[in-house]
Parts: sequence; structure tokens; C-alpha cells
Amino acid sequence: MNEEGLKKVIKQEAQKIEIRTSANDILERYKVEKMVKKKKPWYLSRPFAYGASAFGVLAIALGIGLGIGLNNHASNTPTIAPAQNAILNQASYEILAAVTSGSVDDGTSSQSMARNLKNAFNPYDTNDVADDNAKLKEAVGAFEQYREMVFDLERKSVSQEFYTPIESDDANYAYAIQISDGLILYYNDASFEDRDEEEVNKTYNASLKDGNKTFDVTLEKTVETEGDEVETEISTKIFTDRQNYVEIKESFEEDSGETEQTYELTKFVNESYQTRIKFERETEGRKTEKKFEIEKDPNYSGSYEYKIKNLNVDNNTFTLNYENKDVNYDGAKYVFNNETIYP
Amino acid sequence: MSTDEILLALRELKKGNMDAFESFYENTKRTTYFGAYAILKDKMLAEDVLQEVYLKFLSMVNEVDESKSIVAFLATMARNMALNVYNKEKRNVELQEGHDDGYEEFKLGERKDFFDRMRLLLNDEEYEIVILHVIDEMKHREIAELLNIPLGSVTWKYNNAIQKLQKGMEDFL
Repeated sequence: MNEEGLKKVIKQEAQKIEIRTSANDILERYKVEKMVKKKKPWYLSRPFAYGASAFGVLAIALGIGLGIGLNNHASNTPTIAPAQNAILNQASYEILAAVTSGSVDDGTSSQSMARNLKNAFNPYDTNDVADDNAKLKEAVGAFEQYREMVFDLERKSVSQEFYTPIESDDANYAYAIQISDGLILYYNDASFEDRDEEEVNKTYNASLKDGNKTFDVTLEKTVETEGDEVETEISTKIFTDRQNYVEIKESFEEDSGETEQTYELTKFVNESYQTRIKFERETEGRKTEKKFEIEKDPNYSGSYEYKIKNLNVDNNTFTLNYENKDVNYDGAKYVFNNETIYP
Repeated sequence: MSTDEILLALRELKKGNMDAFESFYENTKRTTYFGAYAILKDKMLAEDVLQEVYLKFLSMVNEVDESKSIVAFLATMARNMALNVYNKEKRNVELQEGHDDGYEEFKLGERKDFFDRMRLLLNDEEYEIVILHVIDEMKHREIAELLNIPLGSVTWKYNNAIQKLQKGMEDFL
């Protein structure tokens, strides 16, 4: 057989090879899991100094998420929303930054932070009773700094300057946002769109540049509309590599004047979640309920939580109820529930 | 395979029209698959690499240079990813079996079909050159660039491989 004949046979044999992967398989994977470059995790390369940058990274991801999700722009382009809600999250982010800023290798700083938090809210033995006024006052005082932080951030809700749209200088991305000196988020129009009668799903590719470091960012937004009820979910992932990333899940639900908003921030190390922070805000008429939760060590089977009700924001009258089961420091879970009822 | 179809699909993908992916994939998957298979000689691993190649491709579709061969571009990606997998697999087998040629022995036991026979007849470079030229339809010049060897070496090794196959694959031909 001559060369051409041999080539023909080889090609025919190649056609017989069954390739089981379909285009749809790949698109499905692409939707949920973008390929990312392998880089050294930012929280390892700058363990402690990254507190501020981590805050920025998370905040901008939130910003773009809010822009995409909560402002319901007609265009495909994510724009930056007035971040009234974002500012509430900054509290979460600051704490997340603090919790995650410790070395991942030994977790010392994270654990130290967790202990400090725990001690702040647990200045007594677990057998102490909650109706001890002096102890209650002390407990409330410990909480106050966190409450003030949240409220202070809420008051500074005009945060537009925090996200400044600039002209993109990266040919791969159409848009850019300056977060701070040296920290820029680049992004494109939606790269993937899937819609049916009730649900619209869009995926965005983005890149976060911090000086010489670059992080892949993916955003997935789903809007579900059913009658008057609109639910928006946004998932933002900031990757250092495929196994190490921070995921921010946000949802906003509106139904007949009632709103429910949640933010969940999770740090994944080697594809296992290490730290989870959740913030919820529910508004019904003039009543607003907020819940703040930090969770470490998902393998810990016990529970540990405080519930604090603030009936009047003008004084420090708190009703503190808590339950405390078997707990160790590394498995601690904190829940701060702040309910405000306006007169 | 239609180069025009591939190019048209690529341009649609760049616009964000993911419906074009099916056409693009169907027109290129075999060449990409064999780009990986040429290195790995393992169908399952080659499929894994195939998926990774297209995921990577989709994530950087706007950076793809239309003036260059898309097929060669995919084949290069497949080759590089396959080499990473190969080295990782080889390390794993070495660790498990405690000797250097464990990977080769492990793989040789499975060679039974047409391409397995080809693999036995040709050395690694000859096999890869044949796959790249015949199935991936890459030009000798492109293969020389990809493998970083002189053009004359590609031509010589290819001709040598064809002669070996003409003799050794008679019962398949």
C-alpha cells in the first residue's frame, strides 16, 4: 500500500475511535467551572499584609455582583450599583479578611482570631446564666464593637467612589474598574447566556490584577422571575488556582415589598471549605432582621451560637439568649442576630 | 473537516454565541483528541485532556489568533496538557512500583487495536509525527515548530515511520 492509502486507513481508523465527551458536556462544565491558571495562592504569598487587599478583592467582587444582579440593567454589561447593600457586607469582608489573613499552613492567626472572637462573646463559663445583669452588660459591650462597625459602614453607604470605572488597558477585557492603587478588575460582557421563560443565567469572565499578580474571577448570575417574586443569585469565585479560591454567593429576593438578602463567603483550600461567613438581612415593612454568622471547620459536629436581639438601637438594651454545647475553639460557630424594630 | 466552518464558529464564540461551540467542537475534537492520545496512548486520559483543552480554549477564546492554524493551536494545547498528565502519571506509577519504567510497562499491556499496533512499531517521536500529520493534518513545518526539531528531521522521521507501517501493518491494511 502506498503512502496515500496508508494515510486513508489511519484516518478511517481514527474515525472509529469513540469520543464520549460531547460538546454539551464541556459547556456544562464550562458554565460551572472555569479553567484557571495555576498560581501561588495570594493568601499564602502575602499572609498577613493581605488583609486590606483581600477586603478589596472581595468587595469588588461583591460590587460587580451587585451591579449585575441587583440593578437589573438591560444591557449585558455589569455596571456598578449604588452599594448600599454592599456596605453591609464590608463588615463581613473585614472579618473574613481578618479570619483568612492568617497563614493557611498552620492556621495560627485564623485560630487566634477565632479565639478572640469567641472570648469576646463568651467571657463566662458556660454554666453562667444569661439573666445575670452585670455579665449580660459585659457581653453586650463585647458585641458593641462589631455592631458599631456594621452600623458605621451602613451609614457610609455612599460608596460609589469605592468602585471607579476606568478605561480598560487590557486588550482581552472591554471594561475595567479601579478598586485601589494597583488593584484593578477587568471584565467582559457575558460570555455565556442561557434563558427560559422564568430563568436567565449569565456567566462573566473577569480578571483581577493586583500589581504583578493576576487572579481569575468568574461570575455567574441567575435571575428567576415568578409572578411578582424576583430572585437573583450571584456566585463569584476568585481563584488562585482550581483548588484554592474564595466563593461569594449572594441572593436577593423580592416579593410584595418584602426583601430577603443573603451573602455567603467561603474560602476553599484544596477544594475543601475552611471558613464560611454568612450575612442575612430580611426586611418586612419597617422591620429589619439581620443575622451574621461565622463558621469554621465544617467537620465539627457540635453547635455553638449566640442570638442577640436589639429592641432599641438608641440604647444598649439587649436581650441575650445563648445556647452552648460541646465546643472547641477550632470548631466554633458564631451567630449574631440583630433584630431592629422601629417604633 | 472544514477550515471555514471552524473559523466561522470561532468568530461566533468570540462574540459570546456559545451555540457555535457544538460545530466548533465536532470539527476539531478528533484532532485534539489525538494530540493528547499521541502522548498518553490511553483513551480515558486522552478524553480527560480533551475536556481540559476545550475548557481552557473557551476561557481564552478572545485571545485566539485567527491568522494561525486553529487545529495546530488546539493540538499544541493538547500536547502540552498531555505531557503534564503523562509526567504526573509516570511519577505516580514510579512511586507505586518503585522503578523507572513502570509506566511504560503498565501501558504496553493494553495495546491491542490499530493504534496500539502503530505504537509498537514506531518510536515515540515517529508515532507523534504521524498522528500530527495524518490525523491532525498539521504541515511538517508546523510539526517542526511544535516539537522544536528541524524540518528535515520531521520529514525524514515521517518517511521512516511510513515505511515501518507499510511493512508492519499489512494485516490491518
